[in-house]
Amino acid sequence: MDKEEYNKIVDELVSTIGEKASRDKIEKELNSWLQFSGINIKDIMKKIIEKFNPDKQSDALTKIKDIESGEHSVSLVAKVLSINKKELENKGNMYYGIIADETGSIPFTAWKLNIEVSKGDVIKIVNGYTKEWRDNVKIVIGNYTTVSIMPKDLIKNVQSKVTKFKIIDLKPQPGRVEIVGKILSSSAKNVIVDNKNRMLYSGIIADETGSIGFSAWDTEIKNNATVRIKGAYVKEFRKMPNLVIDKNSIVQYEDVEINVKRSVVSIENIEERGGQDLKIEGIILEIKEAGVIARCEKCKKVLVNGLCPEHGKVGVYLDLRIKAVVDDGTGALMAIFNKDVSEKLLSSNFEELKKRESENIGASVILHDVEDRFLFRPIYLSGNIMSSENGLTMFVKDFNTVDYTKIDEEAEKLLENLRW
Amino acid sequence: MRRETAWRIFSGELNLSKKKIVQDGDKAITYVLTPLGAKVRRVFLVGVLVDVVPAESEDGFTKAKISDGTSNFFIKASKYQDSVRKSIESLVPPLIVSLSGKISVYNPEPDKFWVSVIPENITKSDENVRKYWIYSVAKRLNMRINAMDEAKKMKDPTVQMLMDLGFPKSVSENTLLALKEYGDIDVEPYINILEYSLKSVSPDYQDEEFEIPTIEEPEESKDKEYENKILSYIEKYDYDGKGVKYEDLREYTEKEKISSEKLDEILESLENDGITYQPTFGYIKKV
Repeated sequence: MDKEEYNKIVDELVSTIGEKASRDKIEKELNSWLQFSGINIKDIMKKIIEKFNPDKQSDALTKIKDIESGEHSVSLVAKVLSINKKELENKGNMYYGIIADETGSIPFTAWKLNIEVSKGDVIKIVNGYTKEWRDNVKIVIGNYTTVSIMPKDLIKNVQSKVTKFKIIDLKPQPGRVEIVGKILSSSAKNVIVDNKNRMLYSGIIADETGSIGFSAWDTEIKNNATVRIKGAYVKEFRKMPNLVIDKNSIVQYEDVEINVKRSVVSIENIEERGGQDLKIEGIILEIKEAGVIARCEKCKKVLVNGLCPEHGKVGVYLDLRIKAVVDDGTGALMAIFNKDVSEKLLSSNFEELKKRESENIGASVILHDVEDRFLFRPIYLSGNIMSSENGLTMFVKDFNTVDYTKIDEEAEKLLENLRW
Repeated sequence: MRRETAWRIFSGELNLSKKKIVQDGDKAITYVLTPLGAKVRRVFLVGVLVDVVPAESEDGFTKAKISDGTSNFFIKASKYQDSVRKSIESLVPPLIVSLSGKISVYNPEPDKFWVSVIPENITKSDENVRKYWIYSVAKRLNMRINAMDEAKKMKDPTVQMLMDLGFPKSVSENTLLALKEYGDIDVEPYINILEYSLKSVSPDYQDEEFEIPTIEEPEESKDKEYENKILSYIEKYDYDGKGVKYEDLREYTEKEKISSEKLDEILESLENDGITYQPTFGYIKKV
């Protein structure tokens, strides 16, 4: 700390503490703290104020833009932009969301709340602390923190922080995001929400890193256009991330062409996330199932011991399915091929396959066929990938075999770049 | 439960490993950590099957060697991998094969470290898939070399610093883990492996020579081999049922280039296992 900064801190302390202590005394106290490195200066200042003038302490409110990570005690007034409840096993509820003031916004988590807080409330947090979380700072409302509701007009205009992202990095998280991408598809539909007629545009937006499904409320999204979307947020929808564009988001059309040539993603990069319309390249490492399956005629669920888990004894609907583990060397996923894709993979049709299977009952002819032709072979797959605690599941929309003739060329390119 | 990734790695890198990482959880999982930061539990490999030694008994191991040009993968299948063991025994080298399997480490003392692969499945493969595999392994190896190179240039490297350069999280984490476990390593041997393997799939360089790093074969397999030799000698030359003379056995093993220390070690373990005993002093007999 240089002299100038030091003097500024002393000045601030003197003016806050007032007549309760002399400048010398304050400086002596400050120096006794400064001999230890690594203690946050704001914490030190709070300790000194607390010591000489405890009454002042409660007034020491911070603005969000000044909040740093690792502070042991922060107090502030802010507006709740969002609050979510998460039920923990045997531990009650925890809450998380975003609060904002005129200077910025910040995520928070609360292990308990002494009062009920809802979206839109203006709250005063006393004695919270901060932590680093996913490269951002967040406020933690802990056991020693008190929260109280304040008049709503105390904070009128909030500044919410918007973080720029590449589409591949978007995952469900609190906070507003900014992206630039090309709209690959968009369709409108009328939805009734709370008795109100609203327009929902949904589709897919992509950049050079990946693609994501979007839902835009009451905002028209034009097909094939390049757009900059500011202040949207990412939510989980059908176990995949979805970009939500609402009235707080800004959509700007831009006159640039984005190269959305769908590149292959590494499984490790989508591990906790999944995504819509992704392309992977991997080896078929294990074929878990391949053949004719029986489904319930009513709900299409797979029958267990000849019974539908929901409807019991029912009419049978026959279907074709292949389930295989695909691994790209960075991670693995379960790929599910439905009837259409399976037919294409086996270059045969369902009737023919059913016939072969019934002529060789118990011989798993389809399974062996898939194993002979595809086990331990590389393949490109595209489709939607869902993430759950059991790992990733891909619903294969299409596949391609690998073009071996290009390997020489690519190997040579890599070779040329070595030792440079 | 998440599936362990099947790593794409050259045997040349895998066999230079000297460290294992045991991760505690519901079940302790052992990973091999290469000096370049590959943290391997499962592998998928394609190479030339060069050697198959069928198990001598039901309880023995069927062993195989698969060469990827940079070194050999040592494959070891017991009765617990019965169907893949039979598949391996039915294959006649030389032959291009693909194999998936789990890593097994034999680390009897600190400076002895051998990695072998317990197979899960094996199939015949072809030249195209082999080239594809070499290229995909080379891409990952290149990334690990670059990450290690960058980390070595940094004063106090962190995962975030490597990620900021564009390396995936797992690569960044494992690079730093390798730096911690192995210290400052020389990446040059790995660049050589990388260069050689890329040349091997590129038609312009097909005939270039490469000095394959010599890797000692797992000691474990030699022990078993010696043990078998000693046992069959004891059986064969026990003419009168009194057993064989220790001196004769020693003479025989010297010819077979088995040291006397090794002989004593094996005799002791055979006796401990109840396979042999000493009916009279200086004589050894099979039970």
